[in-house]
Amino acid sequence: MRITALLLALAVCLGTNALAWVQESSENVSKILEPIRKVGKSGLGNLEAQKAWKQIANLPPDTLPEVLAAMDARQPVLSNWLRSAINAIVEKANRDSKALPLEKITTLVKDNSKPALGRKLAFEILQSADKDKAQSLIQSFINDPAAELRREAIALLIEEGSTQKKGKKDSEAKATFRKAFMNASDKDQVDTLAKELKGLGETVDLPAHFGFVRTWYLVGPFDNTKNKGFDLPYPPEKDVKLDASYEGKEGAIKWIDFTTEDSYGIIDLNKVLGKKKEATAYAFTRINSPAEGTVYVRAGCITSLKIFHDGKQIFARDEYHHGMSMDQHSAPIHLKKGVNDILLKICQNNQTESWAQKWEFQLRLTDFAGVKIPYTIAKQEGSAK
Amino acid sequence: MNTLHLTIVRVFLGAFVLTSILHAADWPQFRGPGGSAVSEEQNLPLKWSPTEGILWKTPLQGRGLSSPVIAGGRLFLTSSSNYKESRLHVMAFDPNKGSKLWERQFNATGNTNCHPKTNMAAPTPATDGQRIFALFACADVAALDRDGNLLWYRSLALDYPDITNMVGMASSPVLWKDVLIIPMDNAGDSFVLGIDANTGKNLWKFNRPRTINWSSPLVIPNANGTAEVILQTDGSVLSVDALTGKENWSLASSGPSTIPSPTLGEGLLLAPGKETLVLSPSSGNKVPVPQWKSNKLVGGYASPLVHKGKVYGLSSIGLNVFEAKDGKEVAQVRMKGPFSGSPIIAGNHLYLINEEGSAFVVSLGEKIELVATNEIKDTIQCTPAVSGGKIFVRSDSNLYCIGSK
Repeated sequence: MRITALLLALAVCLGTNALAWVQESSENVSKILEPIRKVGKSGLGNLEAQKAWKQIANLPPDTLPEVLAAMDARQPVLSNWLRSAINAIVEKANRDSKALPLEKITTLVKDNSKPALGRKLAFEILQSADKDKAQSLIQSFINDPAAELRREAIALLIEEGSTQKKGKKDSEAKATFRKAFMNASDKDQVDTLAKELKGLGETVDLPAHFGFVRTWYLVGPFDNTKNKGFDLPYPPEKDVKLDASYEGKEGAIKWIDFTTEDSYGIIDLNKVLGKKKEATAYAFTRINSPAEGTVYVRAGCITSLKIFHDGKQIFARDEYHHGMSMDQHSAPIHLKKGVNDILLKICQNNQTESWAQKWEFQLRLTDFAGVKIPYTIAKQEGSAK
Repeated sequence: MNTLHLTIVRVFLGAFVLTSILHAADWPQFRGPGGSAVSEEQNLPLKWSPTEGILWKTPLQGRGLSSPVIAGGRLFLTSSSNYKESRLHVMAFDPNKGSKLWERQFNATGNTNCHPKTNMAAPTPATDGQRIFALFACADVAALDRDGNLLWYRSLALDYPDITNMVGMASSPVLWKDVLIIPMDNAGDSFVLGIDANTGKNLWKFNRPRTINWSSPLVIPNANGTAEVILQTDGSVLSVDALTGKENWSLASSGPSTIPSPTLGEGLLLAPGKETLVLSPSSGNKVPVPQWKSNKLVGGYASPLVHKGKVYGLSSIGLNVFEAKDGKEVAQVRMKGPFSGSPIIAGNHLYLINEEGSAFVVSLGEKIELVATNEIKDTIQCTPAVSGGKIFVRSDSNLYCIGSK
């Protein structure tokens, strides 16, 4: 560590030509990054990281691929220190008319085994330095695990399909839009493609495409006067018994089997349970996962929400009527192979404004990048435990 | 000497160095010097159009509602871009030429859900001319030096995962000496944080009501070298010590709201809202007493201001003017809204820009009247900044400098 620092200090003193002599290897870059990796909560380690940042920002452009490859969305703090340092390296190289290692950067962009964040920034650097080269790579991103790169390819296909449609080449346009639809995961692009396909007489299954859970058992209302129900563990939180009857806010209540037909998997609780205020509802589903692994529960909910997986709370957000959007809440869960239980608690408050009457939710299961994962709804009879 | 004492010493030492860096012509935070929205500068332009009087116009990557801040000969600005507003930008410009000097980017680590009208670059950054502190609505905070070197970075969303405001946060940070005050009122883990501006570490933190709030803090320096921070939300005004975060006083009132920000001017503390409280600032723990109240100083997002014995505020129909001493209404100037930004005063004129880019100039002489309506023809949601005889304003896609060479 000290030798690396000495070499860097010497190189800085000798000038930029000497920097090439240092030729930071991946190993050395990794060592310089150590203080940034150690940055903790509440700002601990920031001063050490500040010194490391300056070292990185002063690295020669040749080291860019190594620094870019160290960016990883699973380490968001490290990645932000690195992104801003990479901005500085590129700016300095451009100001000093120094060449960027575009071949190595291109290799990194193409290598989809490397972390998505670094590859996307590498692509942006390539776009600024060699627009044609960057453009030639976009088609290859069509099923890239990096969502931001895949988005580029989908955008290109939307453009291509639109041109074909304009030229009355409907069958070609259908094929282009369908190819894009199959690979798209961002809602705006999926919506655009669904509209185009429907306009050309095609059918699309949006809930299946996004991986929304459509079938739920619902029960409610339990009490939520003064929003206190959010922290009260009603019987379904202790044991889900689908054939049970509970004492609810307005009398005896039972689980209702419900499947939504909504394109975005939205369950409107006002329609199923009746329009209620200061109320708590539960939604239960049991899924079959073909494999064990960490996936992401992504939910949209206009009111307060708790999510439980196999009886354990994995997410809680106590916020009412500040907007609902797809995937606004996200939490990782470790699915076991086979049966997994998902229980939601959805509370409604007492607001009387017309815009504060909705009581609804949606939920889907995805990978880290937001692409649906394979699962089926399991048979649900009697007790869930 | 324990860590807190060392920090206090460092804060005071830093203050001696840094207070000399800010100049009268600087516009270092949301609504300018001391959050007053008043510039000492004279002879600013009164008339301009898309083809005349725009000294330079620089295209921006990303949108933003934050205002430019100017100090130490540099203009700093934030924006956010990308699908879901996940890319955060901090930029420095030459205020004379409009050329970009550097840009640093970050990825949002917090929730980027918000109302479509706003985005992650809603809070205005704070600067002392040597450092720039950028807070984004997703609770990411970046501190950089004037040359773009990253000093520290905080993901408050990772530190405090229950922060939540699905409408989008917009409160701006303020800097007092070496204490960066971060307002984080929200529906989840709601708090105000004092951060050591040098290290990014927490100095103090206290909880706030769990409700969304877009009002920005106000720093009132005291004669003895200390300062108090004024915070308001729906139903209360609070004063805390800037160095320790300890409460000085709290005033319960149904008047103040969650959008406009408190203002100090000419010995009056304004706590704006559905019923704006005009208070005489107190010292120590003494709760200030309202001198007068008005329900005609706030009609939307804009904050009122005080200038030369008058209080100016926007109601739903336009500008309302009151005598500062007794609240007597003296003038009304009708102007077409809606307004996202707040009015500012420079020289003897009040400037105000509506969301469609119509800039209204009001003369504040014997007769308070509209003297010019200048079209920028761009979507403007920020409060203008003033420095070096020029007006700086950002739109959804451009940064403008209005003035002559």
